[in-house]
Amino acid sequence: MDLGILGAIGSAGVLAAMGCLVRRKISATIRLLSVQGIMCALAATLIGLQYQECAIHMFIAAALALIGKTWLIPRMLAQVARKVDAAREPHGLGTIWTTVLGSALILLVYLVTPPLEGVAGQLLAPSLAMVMLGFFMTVGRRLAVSQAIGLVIMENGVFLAGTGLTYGMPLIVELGTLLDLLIGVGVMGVLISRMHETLSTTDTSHLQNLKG
Amino acid sequence: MPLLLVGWPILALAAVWLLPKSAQRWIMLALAALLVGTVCLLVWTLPDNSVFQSQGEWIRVDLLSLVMIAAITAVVLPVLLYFTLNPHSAVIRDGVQSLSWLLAMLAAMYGVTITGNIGLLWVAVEATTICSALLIVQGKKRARATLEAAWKYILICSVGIIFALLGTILFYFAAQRAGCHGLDWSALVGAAPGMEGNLVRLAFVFVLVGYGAKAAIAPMHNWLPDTYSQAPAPVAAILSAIPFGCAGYAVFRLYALVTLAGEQSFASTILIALGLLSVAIAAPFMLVQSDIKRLLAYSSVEHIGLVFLGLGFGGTLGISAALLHLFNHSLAKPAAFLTVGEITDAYGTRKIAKIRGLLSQSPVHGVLYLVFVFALAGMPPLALFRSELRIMGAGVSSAGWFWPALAAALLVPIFAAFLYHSSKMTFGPPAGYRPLFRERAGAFTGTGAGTGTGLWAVALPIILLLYLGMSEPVWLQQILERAAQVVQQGVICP
Repeated sequence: MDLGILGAIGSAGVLAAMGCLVRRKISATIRLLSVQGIMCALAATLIGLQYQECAIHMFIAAALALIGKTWLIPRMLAQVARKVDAAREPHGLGTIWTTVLGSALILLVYLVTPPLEGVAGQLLAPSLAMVMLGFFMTVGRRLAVSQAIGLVIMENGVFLAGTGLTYGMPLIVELGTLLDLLIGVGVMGVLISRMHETLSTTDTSHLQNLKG
Repeated sequence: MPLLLVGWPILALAAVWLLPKSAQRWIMLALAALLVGTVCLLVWTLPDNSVFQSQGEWIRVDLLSLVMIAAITAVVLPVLLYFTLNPHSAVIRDGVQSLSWLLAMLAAMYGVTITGNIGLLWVAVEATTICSALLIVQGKKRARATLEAAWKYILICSVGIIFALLGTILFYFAAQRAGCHGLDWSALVGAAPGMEGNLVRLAFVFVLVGYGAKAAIAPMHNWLPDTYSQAPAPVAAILSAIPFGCAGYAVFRLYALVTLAGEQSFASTILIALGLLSVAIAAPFMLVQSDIKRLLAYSSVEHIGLVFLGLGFGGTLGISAALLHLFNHSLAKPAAFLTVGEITDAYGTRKIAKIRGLLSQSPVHGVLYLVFVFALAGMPPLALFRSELRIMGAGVSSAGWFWPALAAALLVPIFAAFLYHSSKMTFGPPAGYRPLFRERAGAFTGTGAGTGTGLWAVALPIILLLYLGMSEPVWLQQILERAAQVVQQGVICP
């Protein structure tokens, strides 16, 4: 197999992250999140096909990613978004600036990532770029749901790094991280709906009272 | 056997749901006794190589973990006793759900310390975040401020923890390139000398950002004052185990790997810089602070800074001093929160400016408050003075006089802040201009529900603070030195 295809999958993940960052419609970003989950699962499957010694492990990781990252988590987020009427991110930084800053971030990551051979070399830079874009989304967006989406993008990037660099963590750790992520998103969902009940908004720029 | 430490809280969780509400306080007492008993048993049956280990190293307790287990237990014990003595305290009053999250958090906290797999360590740290976020938003009032604090907490800590996961993966990657497969401690220690320097440095930066955010090291400390001030006092007390005993522990652990990989000076520089920054940031916020619980919270930022400073100074001297300081802080901080919680309940406010005449209103609370505040301010003869002195001493011997002197100079305004706020709160006449205050002060005389009696729970921390402040027991010295050896060499060489 040409390893370049893994690089292409990673780049597709980065593009999806960039799309999340630029689109302000919440349902569209959640769909892009699912796409990213599929890319994660695909990457794990291909690595499993390529390297027989870690095949089963990678297939399990791919299955977990498919269930968790493409189906469960986006569904949970979509439910929360519907419940709290979070349809569109309010105007913040503006599309142009977001695109410029996001691209600059990607460029920076690709420049500073050390060149590595093999699968790691294909996937390290895209995964780090995803982490950075997710981080940018978490700190840059105002709606609580969007911030949670940013976190999931970061976690997807870390998943890609984990599969690409180390062919997956030991299985129990893999399961633990997925479970933690699922519960974490669930807890965030609970908090967001509480926020909606109490403050009748989920715009976190209204949460500025605690200082000093 | 270390698994019991996780098992008891889970058992207590089941008991809380199965048994009637009136039994809750006795469950708490039983849990406290069982935890202390298990820790004593662990110390008693310590094998010759000082390591409890299961097949596959899912569970591995060495002396470094044991020190952290002791620190967490020092935090948990007074809080559990407080629940027993004061059935009207916040978490018990709020119902079974709150208590369940608290117990789940305890299980996760002990889980952090007993695992020998740095991947599972990450899972457990993340579990403490989730449980504690839920614990904070439980309770009767769902005020705006509580939600803000909880959201900030879960967001900052989740972002941090994802960076920590990335760092863990990079450590694993470095280990694999050095020919080791697995995230088990002894395997990693074996592979560490062969790890590539630049990978290890990158991994450590990510891990430090991640667990550092959870440990509330500056500049990622913002969540801590918000969370501590919004959480009920017993919850704030028990939360203080997470930055120190859990996230701090993770940093100690991974610093050991970095040391073994030969990148100690790099890690030390970052740790010293962040430690000094934490102390420096805490000082001005403490001087102008108007909220008593936030004052205590910023003091946590200062102390985690001092712990990281000691770790950064390195050597047996510095690391054992940092460990001792971490333990001493675990004695003082929860007790201080419990005391302050009773005071703020009685006065009905957290504003320092409105709490006046404490000593004349309730000598017990006044004296206890002064003791703990002096302990946290690092006043002799209490234990934190001694450990701070040792950190500075270690610094002088390893990094020259400048950095320790700078840290000591930064401690001066913090000391002044504590003294300034506390003298106004405790001495002098009560501010009688608030009628509500007089009424509520009735709680002090025993007419209120249980106020005051609960503070027997802090008797043991006081005794220990005084004991460790006035003497340096040889056995403790030995334990700390061998724990420092774990950080320096990964395992203890007999």
